[in-house]
Amino acid sequence: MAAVAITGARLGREIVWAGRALLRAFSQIVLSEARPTAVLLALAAAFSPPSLACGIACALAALATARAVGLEGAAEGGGAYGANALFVGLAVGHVAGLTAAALALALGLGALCAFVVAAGIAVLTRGWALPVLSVPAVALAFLLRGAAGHLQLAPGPPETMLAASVAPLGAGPTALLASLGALVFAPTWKAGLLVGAALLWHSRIGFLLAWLAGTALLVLAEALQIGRPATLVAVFNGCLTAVALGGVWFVPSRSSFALALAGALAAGLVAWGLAAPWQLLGWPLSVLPFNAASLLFLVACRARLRDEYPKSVDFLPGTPEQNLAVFETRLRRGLNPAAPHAVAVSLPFQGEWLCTQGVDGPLTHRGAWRHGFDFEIRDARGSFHRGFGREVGDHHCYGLPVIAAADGTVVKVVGDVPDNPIGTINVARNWGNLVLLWHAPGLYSLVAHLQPGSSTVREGQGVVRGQALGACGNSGRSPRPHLHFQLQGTAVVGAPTLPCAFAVAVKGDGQGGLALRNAIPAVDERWSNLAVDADSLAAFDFPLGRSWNYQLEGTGVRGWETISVEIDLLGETALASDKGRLAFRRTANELLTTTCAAAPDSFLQLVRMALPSVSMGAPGRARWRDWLPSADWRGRRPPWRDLVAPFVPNQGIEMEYRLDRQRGGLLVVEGQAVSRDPRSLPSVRTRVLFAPGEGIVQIDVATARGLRSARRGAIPVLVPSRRREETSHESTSGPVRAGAERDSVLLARGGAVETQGGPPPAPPRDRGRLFP
Amino acid sequence: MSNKPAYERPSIVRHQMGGLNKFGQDQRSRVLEELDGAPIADLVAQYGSPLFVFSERTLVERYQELEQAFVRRYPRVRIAWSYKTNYLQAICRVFHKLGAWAEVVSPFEYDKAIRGGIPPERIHFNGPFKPDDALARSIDGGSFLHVDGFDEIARIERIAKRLGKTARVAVRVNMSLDGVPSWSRFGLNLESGQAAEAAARIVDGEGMDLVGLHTHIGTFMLDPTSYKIAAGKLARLANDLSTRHRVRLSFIDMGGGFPSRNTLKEQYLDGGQSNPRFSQYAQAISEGLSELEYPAQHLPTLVLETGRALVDEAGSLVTTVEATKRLGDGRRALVLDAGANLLFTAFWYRHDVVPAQEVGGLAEPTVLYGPLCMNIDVLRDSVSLPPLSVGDRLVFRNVGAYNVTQWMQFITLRPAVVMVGRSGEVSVIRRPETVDDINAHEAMPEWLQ
Repeated sequence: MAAVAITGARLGREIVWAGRALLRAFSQIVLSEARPTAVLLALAAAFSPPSLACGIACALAALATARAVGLEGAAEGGGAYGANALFVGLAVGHVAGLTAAALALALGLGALCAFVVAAGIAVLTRGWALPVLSVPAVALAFLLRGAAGHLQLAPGPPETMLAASVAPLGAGPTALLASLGALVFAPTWKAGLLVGAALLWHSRIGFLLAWLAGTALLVLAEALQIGRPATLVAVFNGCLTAVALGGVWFVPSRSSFALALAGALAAGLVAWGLAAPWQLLGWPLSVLPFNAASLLFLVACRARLRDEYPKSVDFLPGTPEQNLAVFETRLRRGLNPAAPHAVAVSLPFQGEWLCTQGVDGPLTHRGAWRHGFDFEIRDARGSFHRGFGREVGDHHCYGLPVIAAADGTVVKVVGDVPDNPIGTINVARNWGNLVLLWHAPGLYSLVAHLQPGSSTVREGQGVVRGQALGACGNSGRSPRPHLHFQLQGTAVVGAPTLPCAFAVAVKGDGQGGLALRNAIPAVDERWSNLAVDADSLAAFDFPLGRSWNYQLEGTGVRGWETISVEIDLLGETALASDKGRLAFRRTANELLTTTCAAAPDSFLQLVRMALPSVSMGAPGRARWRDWLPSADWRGRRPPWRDLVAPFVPNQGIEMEYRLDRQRGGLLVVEGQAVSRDPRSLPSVRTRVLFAPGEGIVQIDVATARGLRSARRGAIPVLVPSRRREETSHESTSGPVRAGAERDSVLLARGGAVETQGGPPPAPPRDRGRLFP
Repeated sequence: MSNKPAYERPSIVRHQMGGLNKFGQDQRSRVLEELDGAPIADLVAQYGSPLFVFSERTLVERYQELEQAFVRRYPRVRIAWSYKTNYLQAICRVFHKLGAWAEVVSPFEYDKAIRGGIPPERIHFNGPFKPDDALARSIDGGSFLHVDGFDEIARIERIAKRLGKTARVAVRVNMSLDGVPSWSRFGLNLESGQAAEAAARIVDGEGMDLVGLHTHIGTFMLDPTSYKIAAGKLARLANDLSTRHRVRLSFIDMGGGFPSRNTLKEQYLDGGQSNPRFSQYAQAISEGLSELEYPAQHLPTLVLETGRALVDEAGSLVTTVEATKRLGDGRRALVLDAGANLLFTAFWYRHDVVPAQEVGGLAEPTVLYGPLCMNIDVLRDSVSLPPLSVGDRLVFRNVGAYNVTQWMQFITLRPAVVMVGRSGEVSVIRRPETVDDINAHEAMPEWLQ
């Protein structure tokens, strides 16, 4: 009896696994993971019941085989196995109808498909870092014609993968819908409607891309009088290609839309071009044009010198909307790698200097040397020198130390070029005295025009960031003392420059300076490296393994949330609760929160808004900027906004934060939006009280949606909480009340320990002052 | 002020040779009618005379000049504001907002810093006078203790053990420098090996961490080279400690002593032009510290306790002429409403004195007396001034350092101190004293009531 029950339970689990895997397979047809999309696509496929049945059989066979063999990702219901087999099965059903032989063929091809997908992943993804797409399905579809012939399955020779009995195509919406239906071998407008709805649910941007591409191809086919079956295939291939290129592999933008249309056209041309020969061979065309065009453009775009316009998705791809949001947020927060290297570069001097020639400067930073920077020092009176400045030594920057911008090895030192008299230049040895450092393969930094004989390093010597290399001088093409800095790709003196952004730098603004990420100094701006405050660096940490309770109140938030500090296998640290996860990391210069996957009413959302980053400057002095996506301050945005999102400037908000110290040792981070609302108040204001090394004590976030607050504390005894219900194991056997009481006492004690060991209790909330 | 020329009483003035050629004294009279945009006449009308006026802009500019001069040459620099130089809360706040820590030399100054919101771990506690209760508070708070002698080390050890805390201790070192009078009374001597012995005692002791070395070679030091030599000596001592005890210091404190733009009585040239700039001291000290054999990323923080040179230029004292006299030897004399009771530094500086209004007539050597009925109350023995009349204002420049901490309530009350903010607003930072303030400290015995 017990054995049967266990088997039954196991069977139930298997069915759930298979169901989930099948849904993933369906949603993958339009490169999605959404279940409603999968259901809609399955419904669309149901317009051709034989196809659906064979498709499901084939997908299940592939998934089961892959899991039995132990192929990577199969146990989790890997989408590529199911999706490719689904395509193959749909084709089998379409060609052969629903017969026992067809089902057997579908099952056999499904099992084979698992291996083809695994091989495809091994070759394409591991070998060339390309997505597998539906290449395995296309390969298997070639077998289908031959197998079907031998098994005498085919009711008649199909001219293409799709029956010729297609209604005449026009350029109208019905034609487009019919073509979309053809994607699941149900070339009717009704099925197409469901496919379209599936796409719309998945992504508004994707839908727009598909609609634009499909319409363009239909118009073209009409104009060129191209045969209907071929156009049917061309259109859905074009739509898929547009979605893949325009939104999934590239960040949605004007340029990605252009690329998507080009890709769609390419897919169409492939479809039209191959339709006739394939028909002769009796092979199905299916999604071959989509795979060919997508891979073609993916590979070709990698050969670009600069990954811009469109920007490729260099993170884990999601829906086009998600890709856009992730990219925009990263861009605006200054987290985008601005240069094609991973080395954090700091300014090559100490203290505050003035940039006197930046990128594309009018004097010498031109052409191949456009990414150069010149720095000098200007005093409060606006002069670069004392007295009349006739001697190099009169210039404020002359003789000051020049330091290494990053850890590296000294490659070349020149130190014998004499300083020029003021106003003259030495074009024979135009770089003057210099030190060239190697930082990483293909990344060198050069400091030039140094004082003769000032170099304190030897060739071959290792240096660390900040180590003195020499002194600022006036040698080479330098009419007055200044420091030239550039990144370059080779060890040749005078090599073309590479784009350069300084990882974190402070821009002087007369109020202590503003710390910025990926800073690119421009002319007449004063810059310095961030003077990291050891106390701030020690204070702003979330120690691993700690956990705290917070009481939330305010607009849309209420109740208690327990936050703990975790680290995952890859070493990513995060704040986590039962409502989500907020990753953070600490660098030498800042505490930075990165990806956030948390419910809208979670405490973690408040952390992300009020503490997106902390610049490790001195309290009372440190100021920095960060950026919040629009959802944080405008509320939920309507779905139609997605349609225009790729073309309009983003709707986020720039925030300025400052760090100060309160009586009692608490640190306070106050933020406000840089832009003002109609009442000329900042539209977002935030405040965090932070206990050094002990985490957040209190957060207040005021937006147009209202005020939200969270305070750390002990969960009061006998207040029901979700966590307690989950952790209480005695609720079934013992009296519910007793178990609940015991757990809440434990939790309360845990909280009390926190506040005892930590800082003094939070001061009374001072809302009147912060939010007048 | 009317346009009518001021009446000048006739007198016979000795002919000045210098007036005739271009190398002679400048006979043009300088006038200073406003301080940072605040008209002096208005200031006096509102806040009375005499009046100390501080310029926030100058405080910030001098601080930034000092900080940048050093930060551009040495990677880690900390400025600790010397409380004894001027501990008015507003002045301290300006510096602390710019990032300065606090350097105190008494329990009173320690408490003043704490009350001003400075966290104890950002205080350098210096000086020869640290009673047990003050030591206990500062050890508990995690302040840096600059020890002055072996007795103090023993006391710190005892108190730290009692509190169960680890004291962060630095050794104050004195040394002999060519051409500089040695300040041997503070700290432990380098050449005799005392300093190294003290360091060893701290390392071997309990409840103490050796975190720094400190020296203060003198005051109003006009030769930057002395700092280079001193920094080099401390650097070699630090190297020695790291090899002998494996101690990595967190800071090296070069003290203060940089001159302001004032002119000492024994200086021939004008100090504003001849005194070395911050950048020259920064160059000297960073050259001296280049002897440190520390890895670049672990170099100790350079601590500066510059007081005078940061605050002197920001302070001005506005006074009013109360009486004019001609002395028996024919010299002209003025009696002002501020004297040595307020301007302690007049004993060693030739203060720059400027009229606050246009005054006609030839300048002549003038003696400036204060209001005290004391023979020593002389602010300038001889300064060339035009014939000022009763009620005219005179401004003493560069009086921000030491005066508002060393001033006396003697014979007269102490006046108001105001600050001109960076955007021109004026605010009182210390209200004038009243008789009630003085009487409040006093008590009348019962039998006299």
